Amino acid sequence: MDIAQAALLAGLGAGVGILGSVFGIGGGIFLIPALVLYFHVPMHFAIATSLITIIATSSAVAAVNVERGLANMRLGLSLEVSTAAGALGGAYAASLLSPSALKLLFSLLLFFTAGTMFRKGLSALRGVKGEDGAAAAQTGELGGEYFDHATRETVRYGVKKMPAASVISVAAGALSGMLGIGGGIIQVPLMHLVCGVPLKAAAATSNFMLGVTAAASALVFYRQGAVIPDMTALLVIGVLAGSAAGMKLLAGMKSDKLQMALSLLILAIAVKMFSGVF
Amino acid sequence: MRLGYSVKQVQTLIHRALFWGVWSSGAVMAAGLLLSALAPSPNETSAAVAMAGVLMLVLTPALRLALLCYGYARAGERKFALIAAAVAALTVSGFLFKK
Repeated sequence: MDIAQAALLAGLGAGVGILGSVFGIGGGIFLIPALVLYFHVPMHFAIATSLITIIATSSAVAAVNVERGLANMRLGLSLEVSTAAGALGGAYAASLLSPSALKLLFSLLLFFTAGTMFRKGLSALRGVKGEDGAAAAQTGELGGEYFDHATRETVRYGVKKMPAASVISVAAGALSGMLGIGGGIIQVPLMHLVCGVPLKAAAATSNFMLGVTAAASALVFYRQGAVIPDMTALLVIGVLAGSAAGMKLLAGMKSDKLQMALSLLILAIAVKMFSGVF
Repeated sequence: MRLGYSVKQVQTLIHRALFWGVWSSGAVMAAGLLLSALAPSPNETSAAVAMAGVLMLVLTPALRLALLCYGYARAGERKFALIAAAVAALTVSGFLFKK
């Protein structure tokens, strides 16, 4: 690898880290297409690399969220049984699928992500606000509480429908292990809408869980020799630097219009990836 | 049965494990890259050091689970200690999968 290529990879990692921290989306959505389409990295190797960068960002962010009490460790741990099992199955299934099949599945996921982001941006522009209320007065053993700095209040919440959440979490883990994404796209709405966890706690808990989900499947890829050490190291260092910079410098940049523009970019990537399958 | 560990102490333990896990593995990866940059030709040592950093990072969540198991056991929360042990076993079982 020459210096120019190394700089490009570190820059790609930093860009993914910034986008991830500003928009709260997993880096895999951008990292995998960039590696496959522009660096011509085989799909399985790109998925493994993405999973390892997810472990880095998840662990770095979770370290902060755990200390603040925002990530619900008991809830996260309980759902990790399902996501880790799903991730192992997903990673093993990925090793049996052809690169074209994985590209097809990944491009379908990109179409879905682009649609979700566009709708979210549109709703925010129209002034539709999501509810962020607590599920129940009784918190139970999985419930939690955190101090909301925006409202300057302590939010207490309970957790409901755990059996359903556990079943759906298997699918989230499988998707993560198979396609190298974080799985937050399923896990956050699941905890918020099904379990009744406030959005901020759901996002922090999902992030807390991502590291374990990604590690379970990353070890499968590692064992199969699908990890390129130099490239992965460059991307991880870039992603960590980008995430730190994104959190400090660009938090104020988040805008609904930018989110919609980003969804169009993801749509374009989805079309390019989809057309490359056939 | 409480053995002197509070929720806050478990949180602090996990915070430290994740923080040091990420940054120490990042430092080892950076050392591997530096060795690679300084070497006149590609060599196995630099790749091995970078791979060791990658493996340290991948095992950081497993370390977090082991410490959660320890922390919950110390706090007398046996159920969550057992769940943490089960998830840790599931996670590292990825090593057993070979196509």
